[in-house]
Amino acid sequence: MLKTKIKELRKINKLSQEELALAVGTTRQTITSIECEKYTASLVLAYKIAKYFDLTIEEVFDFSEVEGI
Amino acid sequence: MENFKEVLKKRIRMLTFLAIIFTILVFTLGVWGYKNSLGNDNHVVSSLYGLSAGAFGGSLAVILKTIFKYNSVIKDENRLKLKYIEENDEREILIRSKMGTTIEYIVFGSVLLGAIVSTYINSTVALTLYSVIIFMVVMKIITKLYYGSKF
Repeated sequence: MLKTKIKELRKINKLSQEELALAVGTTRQTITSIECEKYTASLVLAYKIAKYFDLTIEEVFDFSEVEGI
Repeated sequence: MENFKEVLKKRIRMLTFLAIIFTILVFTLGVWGYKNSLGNDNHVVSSLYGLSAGAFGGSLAVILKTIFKYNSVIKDENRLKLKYIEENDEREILIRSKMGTTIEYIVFGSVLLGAIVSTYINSTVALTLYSVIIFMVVMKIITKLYYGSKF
């Protein structure tokens, strides 16, 4: 599973999981699972989250531990 | 969101059609079952009539509840958005897919076990269960071909 900086970014932006979920069109449970590294977001959702924080996907998600890269 | 509203309206129309059919079935099975149960000492048969009418009645209640729910969702933009998110959330879709696969294996294994055991007890039950297995395999092949061509 991918490591993410979503939790830190949320704290910086004073944003709840619910608010972020609604903004990117997903459920709070999905945001929780992504933050807990239990679920890997799809490319579209990763893009929406990164765009919401005005960052690139690589700045939000850590691909360093993904094999084959 | 307008597209999703149309999807819900289409679902309401289909569910209304189903509700009409189920209402007819509940009444027909109820009356027919009651008439056949009168003077019939076979409790299993009369229980089955009741069970069928109950199953259709229960399904009808669920259909009506869903129709009312969809109608209220269509009128409220916030609830419509939440419903859209709920239905299209990728994690939910993954969970449903995984659930379907797991349930399929459990049901298939159980029916196969039941068919093997019933072969030595009751041939009618065994034939019915083997028919169910054949039906499941055929449906699996058809759905695999369908989704294989779709994605």
